[in-house]
Amino acid sequence: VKPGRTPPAGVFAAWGAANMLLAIVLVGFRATPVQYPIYLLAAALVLLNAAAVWMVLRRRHGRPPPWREPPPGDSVLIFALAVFLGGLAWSYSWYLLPAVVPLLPLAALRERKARRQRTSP
Amino acid sequence: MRTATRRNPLPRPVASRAGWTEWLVSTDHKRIGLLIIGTGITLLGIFGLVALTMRAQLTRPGQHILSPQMYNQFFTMHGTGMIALVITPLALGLGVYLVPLQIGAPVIAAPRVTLLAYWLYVAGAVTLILSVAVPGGAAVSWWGYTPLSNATYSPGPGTNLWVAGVLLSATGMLLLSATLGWTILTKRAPGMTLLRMPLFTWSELVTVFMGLPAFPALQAAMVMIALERAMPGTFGSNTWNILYENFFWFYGHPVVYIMFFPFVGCVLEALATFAGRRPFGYEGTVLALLGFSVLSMAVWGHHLFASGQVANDYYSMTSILLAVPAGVEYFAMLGTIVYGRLRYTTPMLFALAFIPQFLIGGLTGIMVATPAFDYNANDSYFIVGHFHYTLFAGSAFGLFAGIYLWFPKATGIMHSEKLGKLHFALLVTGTNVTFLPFFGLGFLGMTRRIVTYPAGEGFGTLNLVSSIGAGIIGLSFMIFIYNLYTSARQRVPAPPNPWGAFTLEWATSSPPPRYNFSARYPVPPIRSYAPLLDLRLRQQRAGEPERAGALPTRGNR
Repeated sequence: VKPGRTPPAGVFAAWGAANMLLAIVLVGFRATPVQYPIYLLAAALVLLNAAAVWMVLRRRHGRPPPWREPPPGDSVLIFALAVFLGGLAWSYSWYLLPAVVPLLPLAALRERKARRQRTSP
Repeated sequence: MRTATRRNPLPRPVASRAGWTEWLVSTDHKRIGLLIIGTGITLLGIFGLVALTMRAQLTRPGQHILSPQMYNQFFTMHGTGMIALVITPLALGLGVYLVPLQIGAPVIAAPRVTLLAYWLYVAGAVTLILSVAVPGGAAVSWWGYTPLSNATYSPGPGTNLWVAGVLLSATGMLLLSATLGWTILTKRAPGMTLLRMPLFTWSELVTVFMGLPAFPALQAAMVMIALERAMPGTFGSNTWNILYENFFWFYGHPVVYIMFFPFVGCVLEALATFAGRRPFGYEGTVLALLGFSVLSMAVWGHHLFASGQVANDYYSMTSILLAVPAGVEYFAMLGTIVYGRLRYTTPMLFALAFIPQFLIGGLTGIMVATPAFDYNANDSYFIVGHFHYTLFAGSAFGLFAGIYLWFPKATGIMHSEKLGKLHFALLVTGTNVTFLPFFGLGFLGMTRRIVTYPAGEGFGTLNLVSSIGAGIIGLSFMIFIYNLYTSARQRVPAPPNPWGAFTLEWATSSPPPRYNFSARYPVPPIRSYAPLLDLRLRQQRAGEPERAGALPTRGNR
């Protein structure tokens, strides 16, 4: 195999296809019916990712990958805190739910500010 | 390694308050990677203490250090914590730090998604720790089988918190897998084709292949438990119980490989570096990694052999087939060190110890992949010995090989080799003294997850030996932390390539600049999977002075 001739999406797709093959072999062994959908859905998920990678690289036409300086992640931290408190509210005490409410708009505001400040190095 | 440069200590960095808060919201993949690794090592200490308490309880028959309910909570916390919060995040966290450096990328793909993944992981960790701290704490083991985990048999908020914690950390790991995969496939520097990527990066790529389908299966399983707990009877029949087990193990087995492939990558890199030669059988190893990861998605049913609900012959066949790619990988490891000029540094010692210890884990895995054997060994300490040899004697040794190998790169300072070797000696002793007796206990008939055992069963001596070994492991961990502490205090500067390694991350400064490479440290031409070796060989042929340290020559061309 030549180093330049291995398309990334191809590796991904081959991996998904090999899983499909193993799932089909499983049919011959009379497995519990619930196992096929789990297995086939997982293989399909991988093939979907392969398709996404193929499309992105095709649009790029061999150019080096573009990149921008990422803005800081204040909004990400606030959003994660909201998710954490939401999880606690569901699993432990509903009283925590009001704490989640102001965090979501705050995260959105910080996100909007961060996107406006985005620059290229 | 350390004494040569001790006279020139680095200035101690002065971190302002703003500097520390910048770390928490930084989108630099190196900072996020170090945060994940730091959190993982902290949690390793916490869940290691949980394990030591369990070993103390089992040291002698009839002890009462922990009540039965507490013991159940402790092994739930130990299992869930080590798998979901320690080894998996460390495996992916190493990738977050190293992969962009190894492929010549200035940033990771979707850096803020990576940061979100880290914080969801932290949220999951806090929630999971709370799940045993509240009254009626979670005691459902790391798999949370139904109906044990439903509202009837596990009432109270503990199991709710456990479900939420697993769900949060699984979401974090899924996002980490996605950004790592996207980085490897779309952000490589010009010239860095797939078959020129370092083996560590390949190990992360196949880990991502497994993680992408596996983590959603765990999320689905957790949603099922959550629905059943919120609306009892939703998944009341035995069909649903089996469905849950299938969803869980569709995650539960690949995650075993997610927890060791990156560490196999660390070992392969350490062996090549300290043997002073290119990795032996590069293409074969890549194919073996891919084949291994494909098969790893097809073996989950072997956890259900004893249930009578799966096609045992299929899962036995695919599980035993794993020996083929594993054999290729072992052949590559041994081929790399044969004819190499070995340097017995701390990372090399950990990598060398990985080889026989992981072999014990792998070979006992083949034994339990046979249903006839598995029926007898199922739920015994033999199984506990098998997976601890895989995940501790294997993965932990690969982890420490990786940590010691890349510590100078990540921090810009050298660790103490003397303390590193002491850590190694204690860990290799402690590991084998702790886990080898488990096989004997399994053969004697000691079952898993029991809080104590009768004095006349003959389990006492082996349990005592195992507990002494656990203490030695604890001591080795303290030596490791002390090594980090003294290294941070003494600050002996590390050059860009202190080990004379061949992959791209060693071409930049230690620690690397914000965007990994710069005008002073550019990405060198990439014409093979060992670009720095190519560069040095070209410099040698041209008669130029070497810049990057001693060049091992045997077996390189």
